[in-house]
Amino acid sequence: MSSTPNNDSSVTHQQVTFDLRAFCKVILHVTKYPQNPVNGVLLREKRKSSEKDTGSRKFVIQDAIPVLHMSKYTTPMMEFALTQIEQYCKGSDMEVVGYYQANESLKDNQPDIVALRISEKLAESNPNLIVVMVNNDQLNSNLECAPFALYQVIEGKLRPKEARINLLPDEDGALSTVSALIQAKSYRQLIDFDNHLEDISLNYWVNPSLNDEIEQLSS
Amino acid sequence: MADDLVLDPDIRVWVFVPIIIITFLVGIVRHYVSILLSTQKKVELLQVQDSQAMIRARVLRENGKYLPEQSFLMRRHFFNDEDTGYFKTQKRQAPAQNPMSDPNMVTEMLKGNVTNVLPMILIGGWINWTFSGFVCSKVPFPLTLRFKPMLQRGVELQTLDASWVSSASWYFLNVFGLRSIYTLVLGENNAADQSRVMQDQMSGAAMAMPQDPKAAFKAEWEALEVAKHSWVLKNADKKLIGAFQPENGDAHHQGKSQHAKNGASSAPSS
Amino acid sequence: MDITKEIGSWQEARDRLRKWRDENERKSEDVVDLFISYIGSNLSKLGDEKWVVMEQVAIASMDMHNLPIAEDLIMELKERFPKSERVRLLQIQRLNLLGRHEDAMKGLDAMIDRDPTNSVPYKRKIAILKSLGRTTEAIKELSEYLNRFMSDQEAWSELCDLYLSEGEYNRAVFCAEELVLHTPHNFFVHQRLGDIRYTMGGIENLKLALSYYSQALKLNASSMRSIFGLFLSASSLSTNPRVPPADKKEYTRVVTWAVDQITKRYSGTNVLEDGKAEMLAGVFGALQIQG
Repeated sequence: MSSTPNNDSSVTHQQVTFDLRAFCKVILHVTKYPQNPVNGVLLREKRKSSEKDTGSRKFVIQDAIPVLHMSKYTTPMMEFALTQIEQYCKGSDMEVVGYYQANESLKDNQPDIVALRISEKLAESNPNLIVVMVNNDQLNSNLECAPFALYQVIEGKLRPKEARINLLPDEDGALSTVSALIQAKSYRQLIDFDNHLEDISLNYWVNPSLNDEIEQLSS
Repeated sequence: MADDLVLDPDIRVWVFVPIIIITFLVGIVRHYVSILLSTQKKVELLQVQDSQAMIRARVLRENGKYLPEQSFLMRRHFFNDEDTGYFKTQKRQAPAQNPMSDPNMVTEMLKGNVTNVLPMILIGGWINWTFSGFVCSKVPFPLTLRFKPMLQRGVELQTLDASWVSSASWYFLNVFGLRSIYTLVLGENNAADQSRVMQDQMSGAAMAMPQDPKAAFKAEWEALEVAKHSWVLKNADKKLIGAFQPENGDAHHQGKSQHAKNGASSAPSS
Repeated sequence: MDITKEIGSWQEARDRLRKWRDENERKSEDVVDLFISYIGSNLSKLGDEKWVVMEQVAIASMDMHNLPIAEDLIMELKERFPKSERVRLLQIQRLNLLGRHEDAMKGLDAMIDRDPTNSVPYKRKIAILKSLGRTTEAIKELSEYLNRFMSDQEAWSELCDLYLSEGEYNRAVFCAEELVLHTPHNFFVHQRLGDIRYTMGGIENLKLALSYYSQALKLNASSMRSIFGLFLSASSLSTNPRVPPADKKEYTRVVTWAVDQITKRYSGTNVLEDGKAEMLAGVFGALQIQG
């Protein structure tokens, strides 16, 4: 995928920070389709060439692109979506830094073969890929913490990643914003790749109207 | 003389109309009694299974052309194979030749008779006995004399036009005529309907299996045996983009599929 | 989208519930809201319709995990129809909600014994097994069910999904083919087969995928999934070293056609505005190189 080597490998990611936008989109994607398995990718802005090479660049996940809520076990649509997302990133100076997935049933929160397959593929160009499994049983309209479990691809397997999860602007603020969004049923505005396939005029990469909604409810 | 016959208006009030009312009410009562008596026609599991199998065999014949050859053959093998095929190994009884020997049939017949025929005979007879000795109405079309004994029970007048009928005949006319009124009254969304809805309904998509599964199986087996498979999606992509040329494409593929057919049909794989 | 803002009276609520029943729409959240706001206190005014309404609300409230409402309704229904299998189903659903899955399944087994021709308890049992993650058992039960009810498309579709989740692609194909047999004119069944064949990979499967996607597009020219699938299959085949050159040419023509179609459709929108063309070009390039 990208040809620039990832220079953050020297920075140990003891904490993973989610920007409000990314966090809300993941939660809303899961909330929109409670009966389906969902997945998507996590992005952040590419490091600008003007920035120093070394030095602590905080690892912040800035945005999320929701991909599927159907046909999890067949590959063509995911393949196409990932390629399209890659190209979109090229054109907008973003990079894929993570993958998220929520399974179909409440109790089943383990990463499965699909998560592994997709993560391996994405990790080819980004070995520090963060894999986020959503804990379905922690989800409700009043979240108490980020319902995530983190994993990394290590030697062909997904291993749990020890890291603290930070939410921006702060934990309470993020949680109350996402709760407000759920109450307001804003998940209905979320567009994923499957929605895009039904109507290609829908922008699933950016989700502009949802971004506005998140802005509004966070202030 | 017959045309000048005028009936006592009392007949209208005390015979004509009451018969209509009686018939109607009896019909309603019959309806509810039949609901109470009816055991849900218990479809046997085998019947459901067979009817579903027949449907599947039929769609295989009709739409197997959308599947690749191997898929079609596999399924035909499932139904038709001499040793393991569904139509060969599932033994079914031929229907009882004598209806009387099949207990289910007998109960059904009995119930049918009790709810339909019996009341009709009883009430018809009662009406005949009560309202005897006079004519009740005139049918609007002329009838031959042959009908007289039948329609003019109790009125022994040789000169009376056969069109004048007795109350019993009027009763039977009502029984058959009021059927459509029943559907109007009982078919709408009323109490009778709703409570029937709450009772358990049969499911399982059981279509009426023909009475003789053995014969049906044999017929379907033959139909499947002779069915030829020709995969219609063979050149679907070329046809889609408008680049299909029958001469080139077909010759090339025909050779291949012919070979495949010969190989597959002699040694069907499961 | 609060339903209570739309509906003003219990009569309207009753009509709306009736409409959803007729059209088989679940709408559980709304049903419960309407019951709480309007129907609950006016049940007696519904006449004999109230029993079906109670059933509908009981199901909806269990969907919303609202046990108190469900339990009251089920109790009343049980009193009125003590022998009803439909009420029994509600009770079993309640057991499920309480986590008493083994009891629920025993209840379903008993229902099956009483009437083996009723497909509902079989399916409920399979749904419970699935939700418990007991996929292998669910597959076994569903296969046995299909040995009897071999024309039940819903069941074939479900079995297809179960096999897919276990990675048993060949068996999933078999199930998906059954759906083609029953509804060959529905583009979706062909597209699904295309997806599965593509996932299986290899030249033969890709060729099959190509045919199925083509048929899907023939039946529904506007399906984006099918056109993407067509592009992916054809492009894989056109760059596969084991495909003879003559065929490769054919596949390349399909790729070109697909690219053209996709580009046309995107240019009909203004999504991504300026970046669109470049993005698409990049996508096509990337996917054609990979092969």
